[in-house]
Amino acid sequence: MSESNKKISLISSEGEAFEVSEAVAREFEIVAHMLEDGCSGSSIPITTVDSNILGKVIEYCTKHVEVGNVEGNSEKAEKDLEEFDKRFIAVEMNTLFSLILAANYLNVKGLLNIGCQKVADTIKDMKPEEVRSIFNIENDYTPAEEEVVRKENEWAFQP
Amino acid sequence: MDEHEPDNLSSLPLELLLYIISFLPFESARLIPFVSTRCRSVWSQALVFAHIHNGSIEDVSHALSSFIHNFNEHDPSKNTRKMELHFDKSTFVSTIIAPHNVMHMNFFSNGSKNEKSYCWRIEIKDQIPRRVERSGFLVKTLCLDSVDSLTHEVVSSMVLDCSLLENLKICGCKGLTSLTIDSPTKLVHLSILDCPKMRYLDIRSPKLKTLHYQGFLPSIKIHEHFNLTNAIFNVRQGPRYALDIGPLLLIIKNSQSLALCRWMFEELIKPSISSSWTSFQFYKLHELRWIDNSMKQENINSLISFLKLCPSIERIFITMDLNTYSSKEDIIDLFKHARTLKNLKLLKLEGSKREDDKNQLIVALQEIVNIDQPLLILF
Repeated sequence: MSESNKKISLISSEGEAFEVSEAVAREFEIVAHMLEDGCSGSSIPITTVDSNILGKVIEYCTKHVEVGNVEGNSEKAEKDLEEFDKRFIAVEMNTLFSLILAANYLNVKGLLNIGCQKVADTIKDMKPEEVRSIFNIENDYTPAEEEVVRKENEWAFQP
Repeated sequence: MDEHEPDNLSSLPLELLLYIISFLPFESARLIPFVSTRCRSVWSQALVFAHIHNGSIEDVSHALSSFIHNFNEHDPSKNTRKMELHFDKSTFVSTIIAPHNVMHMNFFSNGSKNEKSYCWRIEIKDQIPRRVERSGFLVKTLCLDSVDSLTHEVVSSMVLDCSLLENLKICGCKGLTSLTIDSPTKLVHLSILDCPKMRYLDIRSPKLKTLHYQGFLPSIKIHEHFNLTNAIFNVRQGPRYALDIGPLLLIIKNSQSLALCRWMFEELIKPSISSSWTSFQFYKLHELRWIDNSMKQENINSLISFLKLCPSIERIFITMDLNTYSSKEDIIDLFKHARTLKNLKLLKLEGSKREDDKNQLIVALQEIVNIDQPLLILF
């Protein structure tokens, strides 16, 4: 029996089962390690990730496994995948953070990278007050503390 | 946006925040600490390249040079710009690689060790053309803070190879008594601030254009001073030791921009002019910053007397600071002959609110400017 036909169930925090091929499940490094450690059960609980996010992570991994299996015309495939990543990560902020946390926990490198890159791209051209407003961060500085921070970081702004 | 939405970013684990920062260009990343206290603490950790504990002088030198040589603006480690190296339990140096080829080294030590006296010779091997290296950080500006008798050797051995060093700032070196700087071809700007024990400063740097000195004035010797066009002597505290008055006038005679205190003129410049060099003038001086403790009539007379030596002067800035040292001697005006400062366009007085000061200054100025000359006076 070829490995990719073997099915594994991933159980979300709500107890919902997602049936995926072993190849897709192995994209989750955490699952890959479990399988290598001889954890041969066919259902694996992912207790910290909810159904919505788990579904998305599986979608991401499935696409990447599919494209990885296609032979020939790798340039086009790579471009498609890039496009897919771009669309996939264009989500609202809360989902983005949940995806990053899930990718970090499940150890899906590719997803973690595009997630962090997306956050970085979002704040790249922002002023501190804009960063605060988009992420709901409270400004907990007193004017005196702000002055200390300014002094401390002067070196980074000198012409 | 809803005020009750959770603050997702700050609640991410540290490792993820650090990872996100590694995707940011430095120009954006440097704004992170201004967002919140949590962001500040994350940034301070994101900056750090490595900590090294209890290194010998050789270990520290070695770690430092590999940090500098391996730094690459273009790779993901571009935001890790700080290295902390500990010599022992009480002494460490924090080195920061800043943009535009600037490097900062701040030394910290507790106890009185950092006040132990030492002499320091800084030599830069900048005559030899440097072989082209693609990676690594080139230090053009070096800012040194609180170097002491134990740590100065690390700096000396590092600076030796900074063959492109143009700008050197040394401050807060409590034990430094004598400093020699030797840069045959590159050093252009030198600042020495708040080194209270300094007695001798000896500079051999033919390209030197700017000298900024702040603190008690030491004896200064500059070999080949012909390029020195901008000299700042913020020496309000006065001299600490008896000064060798000879060379000072030579050093500053080509200045285009000069900052000095009244006492320097009275105690150091005037005696050498009146005794041996009566035709002396600051021919090139355009801008003067004059520091004084008050605008008493005698003090203004001193200023006017100095201005008579400056035929090309255009701008004068006067700073009044009550704590400025003042000479004890009686001053007489040696330069009786009237002279008009045709180029004078601006005079500004800072640090005084008194009407009398302003009026006396204006009256005194009439002696040296034309009545119809356009002159902007700011108080």
